[in-house]
Amino acid sequence: MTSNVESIQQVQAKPLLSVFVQNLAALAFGAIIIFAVGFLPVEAAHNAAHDTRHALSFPCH
Amino acid sequence: MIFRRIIYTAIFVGCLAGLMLSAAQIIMVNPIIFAAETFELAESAADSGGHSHSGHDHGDAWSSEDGKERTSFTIFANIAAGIGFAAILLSLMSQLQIQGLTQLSLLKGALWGLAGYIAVFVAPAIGLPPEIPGIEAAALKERQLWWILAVIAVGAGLLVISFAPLKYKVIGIILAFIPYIVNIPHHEGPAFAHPDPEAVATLTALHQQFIIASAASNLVFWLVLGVIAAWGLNRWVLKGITFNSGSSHAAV
Repeated sequence: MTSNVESIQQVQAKPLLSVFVQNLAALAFGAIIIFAVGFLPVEAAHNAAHDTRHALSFPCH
Repeated sequence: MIFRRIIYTAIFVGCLAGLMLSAAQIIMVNPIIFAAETFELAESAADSGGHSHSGHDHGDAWSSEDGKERTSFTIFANIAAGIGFAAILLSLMSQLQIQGLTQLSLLKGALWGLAGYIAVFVAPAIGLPPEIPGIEAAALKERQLWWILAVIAVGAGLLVISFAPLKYKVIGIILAFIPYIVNIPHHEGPAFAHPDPEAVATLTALHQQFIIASAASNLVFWLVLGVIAAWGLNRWVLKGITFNSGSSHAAV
């Protein structure tokens, strides 16, 4: 009985971890885009996103 | 494949929210930025002879032409920002809903949007008011670091207050206060260094208008993000995925 419970938990553990990792990856994807739009210190990126940085009140200049 | 679904949904939500933000920005915010830049241009033309639209440019880096090209880049950047924030919202919503801690609805989506607005716009604006071109401010790196601290601390604080068990909620309150206990990188001295007092008065008035206009347009942006992300979460991201609230079982 105990071993049954354990085996069910093992089956469930993998997709739950997988879901967590996938959500975490999506979070990182979003954070990287926000960094590129709001913080990338490359001059051309700053100039392209200039008005967006001001409108969203990212620190600029 | 939740990751792929979140990315596709984030692109959809980000496009809508980015376009809404662009409309609000073109009507309310950009005229103020442009008006403030005329003073900045006069300033930088005197000492550097710079020719670009934003007088703070250093060197000959590329910048968009004023007019349609500049507006196009702004819309593109707004959509990109929308996609980024939507991906973050969706990943958090997805994780909490799969764990059975919430069940998103359009109304709850609006609350998530409001929380995003508080964390990403209001929280940093309390310490560092939104800036217009030409304003004097502390070193950029320090302000950026404080901005990131404020957004993450208040965002995490709101999540803990909303979803943690009662006895842990105080941790969320403490988290949300941390950015205001540390040293906020303020600029010492007058806000505008323009030599003409009349210009300073105009810039000060523009700055107040800018704070109101950006507060309003960001609120629209975040409400659209939250509501459509909640809709997309149930419609696409978690469609067909079963989970039992409480027992945190997910079949993917």
